[in-house]
Amino acid sequence: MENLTTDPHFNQPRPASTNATATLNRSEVGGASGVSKIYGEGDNQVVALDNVDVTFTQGEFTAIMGPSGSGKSTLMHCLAGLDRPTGGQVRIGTSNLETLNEKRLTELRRDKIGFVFQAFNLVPTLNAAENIVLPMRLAGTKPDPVWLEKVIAAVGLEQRLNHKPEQLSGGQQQRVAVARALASQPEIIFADEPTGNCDSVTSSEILGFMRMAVDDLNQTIVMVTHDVSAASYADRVLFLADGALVQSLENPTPDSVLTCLRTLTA
Amino acid sequence: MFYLSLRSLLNNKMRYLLTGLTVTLGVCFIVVSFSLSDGFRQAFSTSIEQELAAIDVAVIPNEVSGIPSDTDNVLPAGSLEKVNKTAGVADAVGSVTADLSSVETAAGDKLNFDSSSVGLWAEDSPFRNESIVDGVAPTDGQFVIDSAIAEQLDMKIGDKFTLKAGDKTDDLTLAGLTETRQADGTTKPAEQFGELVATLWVPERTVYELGQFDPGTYTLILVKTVDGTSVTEVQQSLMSNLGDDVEVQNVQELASEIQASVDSQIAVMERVLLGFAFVSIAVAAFIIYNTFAMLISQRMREIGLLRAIGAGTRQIRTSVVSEAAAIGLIAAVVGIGLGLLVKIGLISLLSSTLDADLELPTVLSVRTVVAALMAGVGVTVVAAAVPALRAGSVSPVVAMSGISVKPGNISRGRLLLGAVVFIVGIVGGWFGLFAASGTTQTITSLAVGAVGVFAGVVAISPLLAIGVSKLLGVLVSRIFGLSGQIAAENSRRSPKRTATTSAALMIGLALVTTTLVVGESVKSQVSETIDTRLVADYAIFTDEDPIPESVATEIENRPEIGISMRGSDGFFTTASGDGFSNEEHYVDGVQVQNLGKLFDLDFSEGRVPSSGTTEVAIPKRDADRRNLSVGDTVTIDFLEPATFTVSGVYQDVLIFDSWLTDSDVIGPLAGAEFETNWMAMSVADGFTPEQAKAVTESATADIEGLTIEDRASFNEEVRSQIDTVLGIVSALLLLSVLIAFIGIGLTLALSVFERTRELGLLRAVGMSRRQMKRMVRTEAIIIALFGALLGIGIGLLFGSSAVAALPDQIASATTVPIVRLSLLALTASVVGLVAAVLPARRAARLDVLDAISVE
Ligand SMILES: Nc1ncnc2c1ncn2[C@@H]1O[C@H](COP(=O)(O)OP(=O)(O)OP(=O)(O)O)[C@@H](O)[C@H]1O
Ligand SMILES: [Mg+2]
Repeated sequence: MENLTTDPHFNQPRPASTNATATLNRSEVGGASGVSKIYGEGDNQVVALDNVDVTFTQGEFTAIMGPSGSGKSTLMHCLAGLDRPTGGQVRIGTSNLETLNEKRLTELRRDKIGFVFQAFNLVPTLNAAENIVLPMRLAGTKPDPVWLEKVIAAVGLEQRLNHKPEQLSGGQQQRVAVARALASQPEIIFADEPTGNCDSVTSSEILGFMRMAVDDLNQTIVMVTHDVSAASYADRVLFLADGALVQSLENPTPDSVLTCLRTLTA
Repeated sequence: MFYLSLRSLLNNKMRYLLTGLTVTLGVCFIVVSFSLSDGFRQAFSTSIEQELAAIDVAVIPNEVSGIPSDTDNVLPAGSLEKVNKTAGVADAVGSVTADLSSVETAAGDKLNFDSSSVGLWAEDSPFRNESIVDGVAPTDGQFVIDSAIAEQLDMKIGDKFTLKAGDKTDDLTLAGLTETRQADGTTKPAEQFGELVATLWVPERTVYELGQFDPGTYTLILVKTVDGTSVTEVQQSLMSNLGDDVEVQNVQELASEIQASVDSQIAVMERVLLGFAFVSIAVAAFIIYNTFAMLISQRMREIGLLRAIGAGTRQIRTSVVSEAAAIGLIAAVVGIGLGLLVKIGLISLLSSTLDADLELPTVLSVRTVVAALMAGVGVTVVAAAVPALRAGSVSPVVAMSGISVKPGNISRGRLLLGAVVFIVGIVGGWFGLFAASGTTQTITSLAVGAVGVFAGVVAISPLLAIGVSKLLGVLVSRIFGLSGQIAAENSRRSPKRTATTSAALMIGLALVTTTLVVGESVKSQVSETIDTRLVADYAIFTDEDPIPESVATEIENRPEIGISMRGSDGFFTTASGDGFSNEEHYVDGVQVQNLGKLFDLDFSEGRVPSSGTTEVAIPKRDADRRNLSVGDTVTIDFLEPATFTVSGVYQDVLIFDSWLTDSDVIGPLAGAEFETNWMAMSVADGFTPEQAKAVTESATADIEGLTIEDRASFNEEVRSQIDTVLGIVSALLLLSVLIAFIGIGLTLALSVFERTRELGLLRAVGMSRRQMKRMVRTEAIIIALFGALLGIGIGLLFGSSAVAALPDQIASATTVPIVRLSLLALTASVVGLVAAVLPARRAARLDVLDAISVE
């Protein structure tokens, strides 16, 4: 524990995973079995994913880490139905993504999946509130007002709802993006380096918010990150190297994550 | 830096292709205008040259002032002898022709000529292009005719025909067939420019009898000079021998005179076409400006990078301008080629619709090429100048910080300037319509007015775009939900872009609306004027032959006919008065005692001329221009000049527009030329119009080419004329509207490209392809509708101003053709939808993963 002083969470409450809700309702909401993704052919062939098996259970916050080019984004794109794997199967809820056509896939993304990207998450012509309810409006459904209020209160953006993205700070924009991902009560939320562009204060704000969504709202979140402290907010960390799942770490701390990474790159 | 321009050209092929296309279309229009008129000019000048090939000098009658007639327009008897005696004349042939009113077969069928005449067959004439190819030369009681015409009308050698000219008839036998060789060695076809014009060649006696000429007179004497003598000297001697009664012209003078009259008609057509070509080019300029502005804003980063690594402001600007020049040049060259193709296509289309063999030489004059290149390159460079300036002033820092598509603010200066220009336009237009004197002043002020209003609206339109798309946004999001809302927000996001794209459409639609509004207003007023001012129930008009006295009397005496009035066709003659002389006017002779009973001419002062007096009623237009009022005297040139007193000034312009006099008074003054060409009449009480018409028809059954016109058919005729003009104007504006729609497509394509990341995001969070397409299409509808609204608005302004300026009998109140205008707006949005097909498809096919990975 000699690194404790450098831990940004030293003076904060430890991100909880041993919450009461976490033990409830541990059903699977999505996952992959034997997923591979191969780019190119012959000599140019790149194996971005190599036979990956993974499951995500409800109310679980998973972080995915690994060196650059290890296949994190590729895995996430395949899991989220943005990309089709070259082999294996991906499940979201009760659907097998392989069997879905483009139209169904779009509907699945709209209704069952939430997204948070590294940047440019919001439609610039819509204000914060409109961005939050975007997927539901695309579906032509009404958001559940009680839930929506809860989400907006949780994001803490009540005063900013009528603002356009350009009037919000980067951190606020990301919070709106997380709120959007939560608003439609999706089965699972995928976030690709959601704090990649933020300073540490903003990062912890957003990560704290995601943690809370998991703890209080029983959401399921899968997050790709390079940031050790960001990973420590998760319930478990999966490590990828050369497209393969090499390790899984439960209840991570910045220290244990760092140690793991060191052994991987060594 | 030039290789950068070149690379950028290659990298953005599709965009440049479309931008270039707008220029190409505009240039194409210019080329068509020029090459069509050049072609006509050349075709005429070749045919003139060819006709005149063998002639050195022509002797023609001096122009007579007053009323010219067939018999006036001849050379005095004895002229040919005098010409023959003149030194240096090798050969002289007199020619004389008389118009025919009809040619009938033995069975009594009229032959279907567009016009026909008899001409003197001069057997030994060196000037003749016709030669007998079948049968024999005509002798007494015979004629010959062109073999192609004979074949077309199924005339056989030996057939008998009855020729009519005025009240003279003659029975002749077809003795032979001729062929006319043309300069290019081919044989002249039966029809030229779609007209079947026949000359029946006859011996001397026939032409003199049918034309009622004095023996020994000619309408024209053609002269060939002795080889080696100077044509000018012969011309001089002819002039001194023949005196002032005749005019002696050498072949150049003759040709240039004919050419000049043809040219001036072609020039009118050319100017009208060029005017519309200008509109197309102006519309293209908007598109080019917009494309470049968008390309520059998308390349901000790249430009910033270039600036950061040391490219100078100048170099950046030069690079943008060279890009524009290259596009303009390529587009103009393609436009020239396309223009020539379109011209050939038009001619063959015209040929097939007229069922004639039209052939115009394909002329590509230096003037055409220069104008096309100047327009193509010039417009592109000028339109790209502002974006180029902006590109040059991009600071490296701003560009690197990644503000790529931030729309510029609408500056107060721009709005203010726009308002000022708009007001200048309004004032200019007002002056042109109501205060200008003279054509040049009117046209100049109207042009200033139109350009000012357009430019002003363009400057202000971004502001309007914000408001209108907000309004339309509410509407479309009702209809199309979220897709509609985002589309509306998008069109508001860059109001300048929306405004410029719409402005291109606005111009064409404004002009269409103007013609529609004026046309409809005129139509409705004309109907009203006809109903209120035309008391007569119907009128009969003859085409060629006059109404014989016996027929006129018979009609007048029928009980079915109430009041009737005879009239003559207007004499086109000259008049003089206080402050003007030899001004050309039409003078009508009518039975003035019944004029007021059949027509309400809306006299502003005075009254109808009294019967049996030398009084004249004149239109207000002439009275105003020449400051004439009741009691003033004018001199009108009939066979002799005669003095008339103005009895009244009338305001009607629809039914009459000539100087009205008593036919009994001018009959003797005009001599043999006076004839009854039309009669207006009312139906007597107790009879139906049908009864009266039936009587009239049976009385006039023998008169060829007689038409009966009643109020309804007159109304219909005016209406169909207006519709024709409307159709032509709309057709000519079609191209500019087409260019505008290419512009909408282009803007959308660029903005889809620009928003790749955003569209990817929308797809990722669950927007379906269909919703995406709908969004892009809705944006197109908003742009098109905005353009249509602006255009229709300006068109209403222009149209109602024009209506206010028109005389009240023609148009008094502005009629807004709501249905047609709504159709116009609807069509605009539908075509906007079509313009959005490709961009929408592209947006929908966007690969989500690629799109969200775009940085
Ligand atoms: N479209 C593609 N075509 C070819 N190869 C690709 C493509 N996309 C990704 N790759 C390759 O697949 C591998 C995994 O890429 P991926 O983007 O998933 O890595 P990552 O773990 O997200 O890296 P980073 O941490 O840098 O974001 C890399 O080697 C990459 O070069
Ligand atoms: Mg990645």
